[in-house]
Amino acid sequence: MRTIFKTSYDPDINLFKDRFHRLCYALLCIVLILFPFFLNEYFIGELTLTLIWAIAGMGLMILVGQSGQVSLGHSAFMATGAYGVVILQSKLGLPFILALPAAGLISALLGVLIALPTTRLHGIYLAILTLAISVLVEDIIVLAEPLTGGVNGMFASDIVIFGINFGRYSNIANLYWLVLFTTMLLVLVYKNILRTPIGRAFASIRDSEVSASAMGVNVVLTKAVAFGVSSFFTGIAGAFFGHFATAFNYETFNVIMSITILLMIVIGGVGSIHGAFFGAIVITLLPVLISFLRDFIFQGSSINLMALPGIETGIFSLILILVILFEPRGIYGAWLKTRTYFELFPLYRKDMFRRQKSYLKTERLR
Amino acid sequence: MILSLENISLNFGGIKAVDQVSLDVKEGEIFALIGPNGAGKSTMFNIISRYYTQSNGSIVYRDEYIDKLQPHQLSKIGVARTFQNIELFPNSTVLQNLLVGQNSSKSSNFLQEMLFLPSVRKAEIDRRVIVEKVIDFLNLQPFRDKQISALSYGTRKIVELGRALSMQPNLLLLDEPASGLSAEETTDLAFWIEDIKKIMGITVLMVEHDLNLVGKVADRVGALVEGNLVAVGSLKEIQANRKVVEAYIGT
Ligand SMILES: Nc1ncnc2c1ncn2[C@@H]1O[C@H](COP(=O)(O)OP(=O)(O)O)[C@@H](O)[C@H]1O
Ligand SMILES: [Mg+2]
Repeated sequence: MRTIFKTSYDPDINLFKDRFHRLCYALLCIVLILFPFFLNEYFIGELTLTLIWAIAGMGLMILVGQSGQVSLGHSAFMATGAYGVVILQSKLGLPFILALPAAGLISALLGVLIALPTTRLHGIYLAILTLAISVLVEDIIVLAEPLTGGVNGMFASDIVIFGINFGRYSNIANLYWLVLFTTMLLVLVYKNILRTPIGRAFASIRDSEVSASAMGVNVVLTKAVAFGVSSFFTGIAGAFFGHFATAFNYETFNVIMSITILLMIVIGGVGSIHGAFFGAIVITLLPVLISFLRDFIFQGSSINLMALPGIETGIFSLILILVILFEPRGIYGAWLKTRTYFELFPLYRKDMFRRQKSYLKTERLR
Repeated sequence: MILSLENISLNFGGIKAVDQVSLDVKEGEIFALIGPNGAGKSTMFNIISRYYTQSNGSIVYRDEYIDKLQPHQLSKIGVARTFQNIELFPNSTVLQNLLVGQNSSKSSNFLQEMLFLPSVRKAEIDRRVIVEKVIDFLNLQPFRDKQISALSYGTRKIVELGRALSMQPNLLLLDEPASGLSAEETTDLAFWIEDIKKIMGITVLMVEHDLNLVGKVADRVGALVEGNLVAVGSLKEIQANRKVVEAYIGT
């Protein structure tokens, strides 16, 4: 167990609690940067996809985990990101380095436009509304054929920045590094949100809108900002997703994708950056695992379970059920418990993480 | 006069929750509202802090009408409040809860915060200094990094008081601050409320059932009965008032 004596407020504000933490994350970064030298193109591709999902997950996490709003329509922001970046590149001739943030901003704008009139909606109503909007976005994509290619969809040509090629099929390692770099920047932004007034404003509207406004937090504005930031992140993920897929159409960004992102953050652990990454790892590892099981374990047995259609979503849902039943704080929650167990060994008590009861939540204002 | 209520009324369906109440709170005093349950005390607080809009009358705060303001705008003009049934942010630590109190006086916008510009760090430290003073004042040091959901009821009440204080208000509205507190905690509370007035120079308007506490700290007392303000004066005068006595015996 490490004991920390604080002599100034800076350590509470810094990104890393102490040297040890900084070292751990520095090592992680180095390993991530070096990966392409040890892996084949297939795995570099899978890793890139994991990071893209993690960005999308962070986007939804800001909304759900930080500000307490739900969305079943985040595929819409993936779509605006993907279509945005490719249209800006191909139709306006914008370089990728400008088209990417612009696509993020377009998605953010859509997010704010959705948020402003709907701030009075909570829970299931907001979920249904966002779901409806994402279906609407699919339709708009089909209708806006001259811009979006209609049902045929679009092709994303290689990303080129200052003459260097970052294309999926021409240089996957470069694409990986580009996505990794963006991911790191966005993690930094997320961390900054958590340690500044904006993050506290998010948490306050999540936990109690009544007292948030008593504290001077403008609930409507804060919800809109949360939606905007969330859809910016997701839009960036969408832009990379488009370039990773290279070809996509309206069906790429369907309801299943929205639900997948939501399940991802629940499985990973709602409310933490780690959760987005754990969820993303699960979601990309799963198909790999299944094909491994199919080819090596069930090979030759009379019924090959893993070859059943829809087995991926099935297993995914099974994991979700297990998580919700046994570890509501997701993989990250389980990780925290394990870590505390070893740090405090042998002092750990079983009910250390038990949920505490909350007092009178009804009759709020009386 | 820091706060004047002019002829405030509010009905809920058939119930006259607040009935033509006029009330002045003087700069720098502790004013206590007493009255039986359902007398309309919390409703008056909710009208002052703009959660409810009165059907009649107006509210003046330091010579300005504040009837048009929204709840979140009150912190800007220096009004803070607590709730009868604790309304903290249960998934955050005590420190984070208190820091929210500083949100309304921040000078940065969310873009600067997302980029964590150097000015943001400096402002963060300034906020922390203010909040630490409140933590010291209320002896909350042992709970600084504890989740609200891990605290006892009494401690939560005190954290809520602390959160209101970290807003550095001019007028503090306390809705039954001593309800649910132990005798010991109530004694502490009495000292704190006096210091809030004397040392911090904050005007306090409080609702309280504990007449012992009211007697210790309040400069003036108002009695609310069925939405009517039936008497204003010292606690002795109020306790001698026939209408007040009847109301309490009647319930
Ligand atoms: N939101 C509301 N809707 C309907 N009736 C309410 C509401 N808030 C308060 N009341 C009623 O107004 C009266 C005064 O309540 P309140 O102000 O909470 O009393 P107290 O003096 O105990 O704080 C009660 O009869 C209560 O039932
Ligand atoms: Mg009350």
